[in-house]
Amino acid sequence: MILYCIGLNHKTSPVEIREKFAIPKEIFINYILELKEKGKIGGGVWLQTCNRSEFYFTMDFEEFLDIIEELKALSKIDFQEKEYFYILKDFSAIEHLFFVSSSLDSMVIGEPQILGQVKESFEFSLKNGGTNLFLNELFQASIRVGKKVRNETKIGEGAVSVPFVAVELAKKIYGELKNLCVLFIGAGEIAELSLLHLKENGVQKIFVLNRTKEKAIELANKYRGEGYGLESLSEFLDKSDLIITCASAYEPIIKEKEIYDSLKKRKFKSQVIIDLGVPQNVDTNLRKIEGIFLYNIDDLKEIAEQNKKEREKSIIEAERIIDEELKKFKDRWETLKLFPFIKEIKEHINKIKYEEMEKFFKKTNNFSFEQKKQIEIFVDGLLQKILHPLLEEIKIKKPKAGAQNLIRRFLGLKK
Amino acid sequence: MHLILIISGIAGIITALIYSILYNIQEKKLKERNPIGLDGFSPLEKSNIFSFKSLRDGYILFTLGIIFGFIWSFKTKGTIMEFNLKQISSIFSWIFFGILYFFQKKLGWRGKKVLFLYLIGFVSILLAIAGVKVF
Repeated sequence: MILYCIGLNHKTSPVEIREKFAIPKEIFINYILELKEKGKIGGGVWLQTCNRSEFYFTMDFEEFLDIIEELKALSKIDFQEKEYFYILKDFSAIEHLFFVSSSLDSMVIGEPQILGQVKESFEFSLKNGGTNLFLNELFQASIRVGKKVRNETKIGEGAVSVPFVAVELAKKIYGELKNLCVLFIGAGEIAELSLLHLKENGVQKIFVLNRTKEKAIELANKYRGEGYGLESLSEFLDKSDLIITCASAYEPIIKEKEIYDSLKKRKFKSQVIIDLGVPQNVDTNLRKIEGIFLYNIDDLKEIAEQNKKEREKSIIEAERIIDEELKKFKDRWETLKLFPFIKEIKEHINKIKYEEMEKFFKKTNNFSFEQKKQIEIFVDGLLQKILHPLLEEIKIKKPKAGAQNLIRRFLGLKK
Repeated sequence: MHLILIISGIAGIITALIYSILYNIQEKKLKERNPIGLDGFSPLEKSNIFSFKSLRDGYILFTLGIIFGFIWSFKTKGTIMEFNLKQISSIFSWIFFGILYFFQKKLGWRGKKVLFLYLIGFVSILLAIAGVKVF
C-alpha cells in the first residue's frame, strides 16, 4: 500500500491555473467513489481551498499515472500540467499534510482556516465512503498535530494583514463586536475586506458613506448595512464606535472639532478611527484627544509586520512538534501497512481450518452440534497459540515485501 | 456589621483602583499605537466598566458601613459623630468617591484624571484606617 498526494498550491501555480482545479468536494467525491469501485485506489480525500487543490489517495501499486488518466477522463481536466503539480509519495505526503494542517504551508503562516478545511474535507470523504483505514488514521493524526501546533506555539497569534489588524484592534478595545456600530467612509478594496472581516466577527450595525451615494448603498447592501452620501457624516459620528475611512480626499474629512463634539455626546466612550486614506482623511490632531484612538495605514502595517515576526519565531517550535509527531506516526503507519498482510494470513488459516473441519465432520458423522462447537473452539485455540508469535513478530519486525512473500511461501499462501 | 461593610466597601474601591490602573496601561499602549502585549488584558472598555461597577458596589457597601457606624456610635457613645481622624477621613472619602462616581456616570470621566482622583481618595481611606489604629 502506498500513499500519494498530487496537488498544486499558491507556491507552485498562479491563481489562473489553480482556478481550473477548484473542483468542489461534492463533485470530486464521485471521482473518488468511482476509482474505488474500479479497485484503482483504496480511498481518497480531496482538499480544495483558495490556495491549494490536493488529492490524497492510497494505492496497492506504484502506477499512479493511471490515476491521473482516470481523473482526466472523469473530470475532463488535465491533471498532468507538470510544472504546476507536485507528487508526493508515502512519508513525504504524510509530512506535507502535517505541515498543511499546521498552517506552515499556508500563504499566511498561522492562518486559522486551514485546519478546519482539512477536517471538513476529511469528514466529507469519510461520511460518503471515500476513505479507508489508512486515510482515517492519517487525517486524524494530522488534525491532532495541527491543533497541537496551534495550542503550543504562538503561530496563530497576532493579525498579519491590515484588515485583520483593524478587526483585532477593535476587539482589544471593545471585546465582542456584535453590538458595535461601524462607519465606513469611502468604498475601497481594503475597506471592503475590513468590512468583510468585521461582519465575519459578528458586527451587525454598518453604515457606509461615500461621495457617490449609489456606491455607498451598493457596498452597504452587500453586507446588510445602510448607505448614505458623505453629507450625512455628522449624523453618524457620535453613533459610531469604529470609523474606517479610505476616501480619496485632499483635505481631512473628519476634523478635530467634529470629533470632540461627537465624543461629548458619547460621554467620552472610546472611539477608534482607522484612516486608510492616502492623503490621510482624518486630522492627526485627533490623536491627543482622550478617548480617541487614531491609526493610519502605516501604523496597521507596522503592527502586522511585528506580528509576522512573532509568528516566524514560532515556526521553529512548530517544526519541532511536527518532527516529533512524525516519528511517532511513522511507527504507527508502518504497523498499519501490515494490516492487509496480517488479514491475509488470518483469512488463509481460517480457510484451511474450515476446509479441514468440513472434511473431518463428513467422515465422522457422530458428533452433535454442541460437540462440533467444542471442537471448533479447541481448533481456534490451537491455531491462535501457533499463529500469535508469528503475528507479533510481524508487527515488531515490520517485514518488507520480500520477507512477506517468504512468509507467504512458508504458509502456502498464494499472492 | 459596620466593620464588614466598611472592609467590603474599601475592597470594592481598591478593585476599582486596580482596574483603573489597568485601563490606563492599556490606553497608553493603544494611544502609542503599540497594542502588542495586550493579549492577556480584558478589552479596554471592559476595564473601564469593571472599574466603574466596582466603585459603584464598593460605594454602596461603604455607605451602608458608615450608616451602621453612626448607629453603633449612637448606641454605645450616645453621639453619632466624634470628629476624630477616622470619622472625618471616612466622611471625606464618602463625599469624594460619591462625586467621582457622579462624574464618571454622568460625564463619562475616565483615564488619567480618574486614576489620579482614585489615588487621592485612596489616601483618605488610608488615613481613615490609620485613625482606627490611633484612636
